[in-house]
Amino acid sequence: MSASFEVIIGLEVHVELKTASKLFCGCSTTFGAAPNSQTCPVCLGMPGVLPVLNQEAIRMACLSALALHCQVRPVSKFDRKQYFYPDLPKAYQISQYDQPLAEFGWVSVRPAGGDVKKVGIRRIHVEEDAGKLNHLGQRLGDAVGSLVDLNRAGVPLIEIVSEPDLRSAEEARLYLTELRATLSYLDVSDLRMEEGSMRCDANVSLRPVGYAGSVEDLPRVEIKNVNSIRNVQRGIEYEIERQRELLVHGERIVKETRGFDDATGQTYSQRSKEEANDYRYFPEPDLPPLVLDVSWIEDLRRNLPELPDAIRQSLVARGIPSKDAEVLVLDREAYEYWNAARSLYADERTLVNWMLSDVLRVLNLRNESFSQASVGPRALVELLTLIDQGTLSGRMAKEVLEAMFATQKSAADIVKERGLSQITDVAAVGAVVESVLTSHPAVVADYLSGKEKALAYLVGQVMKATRGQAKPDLVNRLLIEGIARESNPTR
Amino acid sequence: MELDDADILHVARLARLQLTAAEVEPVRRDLNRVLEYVQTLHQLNLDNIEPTMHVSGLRAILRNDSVQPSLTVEEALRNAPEVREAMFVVPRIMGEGGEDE
Repeated sequence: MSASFEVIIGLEVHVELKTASKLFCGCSTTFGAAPNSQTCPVCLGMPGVLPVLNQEAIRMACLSALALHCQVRPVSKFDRKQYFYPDLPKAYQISQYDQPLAEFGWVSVRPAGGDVKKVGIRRIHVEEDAGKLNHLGQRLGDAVGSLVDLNRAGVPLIEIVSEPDLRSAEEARLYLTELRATLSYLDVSDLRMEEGSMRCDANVSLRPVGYAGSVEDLPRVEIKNVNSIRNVQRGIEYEIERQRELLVHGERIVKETRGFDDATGQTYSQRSKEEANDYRYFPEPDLPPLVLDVSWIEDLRRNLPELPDAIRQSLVARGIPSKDAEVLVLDREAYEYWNAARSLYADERTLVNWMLSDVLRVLNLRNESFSQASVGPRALVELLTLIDQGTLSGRMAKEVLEAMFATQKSAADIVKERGLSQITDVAAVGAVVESVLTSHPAVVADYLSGKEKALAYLVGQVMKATRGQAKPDLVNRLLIEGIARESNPTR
Repeated sequence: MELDDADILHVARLARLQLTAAEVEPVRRDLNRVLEYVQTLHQLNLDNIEPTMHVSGLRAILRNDSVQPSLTVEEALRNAPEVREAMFVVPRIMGEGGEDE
């Protein structure tokens, strides 16, 4: 029987704020510009320059803090974090140390089949991003040198530090998903992990059952800079097993930083952190304390947009199944699409069904998102209305939807062009039904002997003869009536 | 508090100073003398005095989020000892005893 351990995970999430200019200077923050084309003496770390705080960055940071249920400090301060690395031109990063912008927040996560769990946020602070290194080699370890692009140096970041409240890789995934969804409604960041506008470091340790000391004293492994939520989850899963193996075999966990290899799904050692970090923080002499008016903070709080928890509740209250509500909540674009469509269409459940099955399927095929969907909310509602009016069957409508995406034409135009109108005329459908029944006596006999499936075959034959345009429930009804008449002619 | 040789070597490493064996002792002596001088502050009575956050007594002054012209790439790279693909070239980062942040 192996010893048992409890998994302890804390996450540090860096989020780039989408201000137009950098945190302390007027350089543009546009992603993907030519290397070193967005720099100035301030962000290059030239001597004699002074940083000036960007008001919009502070607003976005406060908004994020409030949405994550944090307390915003009326007075916070900036500090210098000293370390040498080539992406940091000043050899210190302006950050916030002992008096961060905000503290004591939480994110709620919903493990499948479990209760809602509040994961604590210890602090949120504002800091500047570093530049970008391009290593000349496959990996940092065997690079012969690096190329430095300082466009990113000085871009505003918030760092969101969770409490070590997470107990599994799945909880970490849920936390990140909820955090990202919450921030997405605030318009404060692009939140693209693959582009680095949201980055996550995961601290993972195992606590032996019965361990009485502080969690902070457990040997901790930090998995750095993973580029997707899925990979954070994979990296943590691997790390839990790696540490468990070591502990079960009586070995020691080394406190270190590890990278994650997407191809192998494994973590690998980057550098040992045996020696405690010694950043020699001290107050930034070039920036006086940040003092915020309480009334300004309260104003921001009052003007927070609708956030995931409230959206979930209102969707479920409207009768949207919770699974569908979850998809809408976590994808702000889908939720906005839905909101626009529902103002034009009363049957909200049907709307959600179409959006999350057929529309989503075509969007995925075309690599489009809801916000750029070639078929917008209004066009979708026009299509659904044609179904309600009996012009199209559900099956025909799916075909029309694909054509709408391909041609950008309206549902009505496609129906007209292709002569697709549903055949609802009883006499017209009845004639086809009669001929199908006459030409398939054996199938009719099968049906009469109790083979229910035989009916589906007959329906198929009628549909084929009408190019799919006969109204399905009418076909069903007329077939059953027709068979009843033939088998019981005396009546 | 008095600094010993190990403290001196640690601080030197953090500052990327390479001290020879002969240099450690005089540096330790000088630094201890500086610390001793600063200790004078302990003689002051600081009861009921708020810690100083910043010497200026000012509040942070905020600027509007407007983009200002940057330097040209040529200007930005002018002082770089080596440039490649419009980027600063730096030597290998990991290994060689200098595994750092």
